[in-house]
Amino acid sequence: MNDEMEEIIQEFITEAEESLDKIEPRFVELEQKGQDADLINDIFRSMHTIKGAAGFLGLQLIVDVAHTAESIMKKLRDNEITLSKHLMDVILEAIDMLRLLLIHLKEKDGIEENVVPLVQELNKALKAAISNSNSSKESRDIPAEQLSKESETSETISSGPAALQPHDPADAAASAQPDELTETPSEYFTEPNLNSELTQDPEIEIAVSVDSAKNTESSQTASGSEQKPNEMIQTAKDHTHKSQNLRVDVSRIDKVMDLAGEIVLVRNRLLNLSHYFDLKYSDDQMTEVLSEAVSFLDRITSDTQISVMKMRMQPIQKILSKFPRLVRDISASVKKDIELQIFGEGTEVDKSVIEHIGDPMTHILRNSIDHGIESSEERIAMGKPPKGKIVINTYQKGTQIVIEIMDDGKGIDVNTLKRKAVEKGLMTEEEVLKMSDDDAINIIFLPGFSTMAVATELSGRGVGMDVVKTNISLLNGYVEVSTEKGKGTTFRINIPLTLAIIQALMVEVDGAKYAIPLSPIEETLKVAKKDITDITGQDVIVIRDKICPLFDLRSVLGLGYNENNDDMEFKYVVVISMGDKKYCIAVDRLLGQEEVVIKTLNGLDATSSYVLGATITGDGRVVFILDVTGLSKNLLGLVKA
Amino acid sequence: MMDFKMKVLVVDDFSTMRRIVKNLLKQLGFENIDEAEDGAQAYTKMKEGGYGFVVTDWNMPNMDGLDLLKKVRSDPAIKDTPMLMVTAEAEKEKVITAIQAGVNNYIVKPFTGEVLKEKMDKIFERLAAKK
Repeated sequence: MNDEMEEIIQEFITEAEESLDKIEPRFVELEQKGQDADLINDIFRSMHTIKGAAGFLGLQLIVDVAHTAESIMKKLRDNEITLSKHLMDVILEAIDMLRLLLIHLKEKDGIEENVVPLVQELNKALKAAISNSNSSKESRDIPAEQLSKESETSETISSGPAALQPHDPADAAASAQPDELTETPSEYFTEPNLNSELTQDPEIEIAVSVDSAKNTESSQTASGSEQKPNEMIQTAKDHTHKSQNLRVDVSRIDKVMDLAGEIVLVRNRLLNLSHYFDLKYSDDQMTEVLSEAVSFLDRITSDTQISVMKMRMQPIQKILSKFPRLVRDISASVKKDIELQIFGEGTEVDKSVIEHIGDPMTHILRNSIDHGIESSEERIAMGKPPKGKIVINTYQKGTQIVIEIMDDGKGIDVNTLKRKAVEKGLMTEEEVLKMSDDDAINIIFLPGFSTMAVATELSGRGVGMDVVKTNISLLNGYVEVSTEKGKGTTFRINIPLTLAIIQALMVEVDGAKYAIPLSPIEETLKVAKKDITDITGQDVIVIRDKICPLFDLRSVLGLGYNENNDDMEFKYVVVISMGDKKYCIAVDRLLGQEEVVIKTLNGLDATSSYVLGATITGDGRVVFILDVTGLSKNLLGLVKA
Repeated sequence: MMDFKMKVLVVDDFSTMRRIVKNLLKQLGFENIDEAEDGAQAYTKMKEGGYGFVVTDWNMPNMDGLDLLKKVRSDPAIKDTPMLMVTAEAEKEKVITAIQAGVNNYIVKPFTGEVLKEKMDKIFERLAAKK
């Protein structure tokens, strides 16, 4: 196949998929708002456009499906029929089919879908809707039985020369080009049958459309793809086109990102050097020039870094747009009435977040629908509005992206969780008894806990909430749950804005430097030794009337005891806050804040070493970055034991 | 004869479609082809001047092809720009509306390079005859 053609088809797939992503939430809106002209027109236009482009590319199956769906949308738009649940369902089926066809096209798997039953179903639904609206206009007293009979007869008709049959010869003629316009166009066009004018020079035109129809029948198979109407598109010799958007391979952006990271490292070194010269040769004029140049480089480096980071950022809308449909489908399957509200679609997140946050969010949503929200009857009995509500809210908080998923359901019953954890042998009776309610909520994230067979037809994957946690920690994020019995549950996902460059606090222990990511750090303190108390073998300090466990980074990292440090009257303490937990880490010295580029270390077991990666500091040293998430998990585990 | 050096504007909200039409035009020999995403953008570009021919889709957000046509025809600076309307189906009423609004010709999707050429030839023949 011709490269240009291949490229156009790839572009078509991407664009068509984007278009489908955009309209899918419109359906759910439509269901809520009723026959809204703007929504219908949006969907209509999308079907129309996809059909148009697919026609050029000879993708007949896509044309067939999009055409039938478009016809329904058109009738809806022109108020010839009214929207019904059934109509909505079949159009959504058509959307699903279009997605499937696009996937086959993308994968070049050669699988052929039979779209005929779907097209027939769509036509049948349209006929039913037409006869429905006709009969309701004529008389509103027609019994339902008669109505259904009517729609059945229309089905048999639809296999005849119905206007919607794509391969009908009449249609082929209609798609042929009408003749030129005469000098008196209005007269010309008052002819009752436009097609009759075709007889003037119909050969070429009709031949063309028949020919392309023949070509396209097999065009969705891999082998047939070379038969595509190449004559339509030739390889363009010059690519002089200008356009506002450029599709760039992610690996190229990542390369730039990587290089920007290296520049940051060199910049840091230069800053240090310049500082050194500034102190040593302050009377030399060139020192000032040097520091000026370096601070200029400093600014540019920061701008470069932000620009590159932004290249990878995409609005989270991309993920959120599929949820209205998802919530609609799942809540229908469990027969619950649920409204989904989404806020903050414009929040921009890194591309890798877009790629990995969809599954965890889907799981949380499914969980809320399945277990959180009660049936309408239960809700009424509890004095709640019959319709359940789920709210997704995303926003940026400092250098973190926060995604909240809140439901107003029955909340998580901590005692049930505890009982189930014991039943499943995940925890002992004793362990469970010691747990606070806040800790017990996290039982849902234990591997193997997820109770129900969550593998529905929608996900097809039998995974539990533990996967939610794993996926999110892969993004260096964490998830918290808060619940109130009878009022609802909130899942709060926190993810750092970018994964490659972070702000870190540099600390020193035993003469070695370590970097602690800044985002979980709440504050740093200088604590007098006498203020550190020992409670049942655990050091604690009191911060503003709250007891906070204290760990020595030295012993955490297994560096052994150093008695020199014992003489010090003060300890420097870093207060870490993970979710609603707070604890302190004692270090020898606090060295200040630095921007560090995370370089992953190969062959490092991040789960046991507490090390996230390494970075090169301004003075050229390699420094380990501590993995606060892993650290917290283990340290807080220690407290309980 | 058509002047292949003339600046042609392709208006469509779907970028794949713009690319297809552009390719067809290139195949015919046009070299100077520009794009616009909707009627509003097309109108702004046309106001900047220099377009010898416009191929526009009908269904677009913001400003559709028909509104663009009307706007161009009522703007003395660019009202004579030849315009070809791309439609998906030959709906009689729609086409009449476009004719009345002053479209030079229309073309039904999907079309080939040859059909496009014919349409363009006819437009320019008629324009030449008028002069």
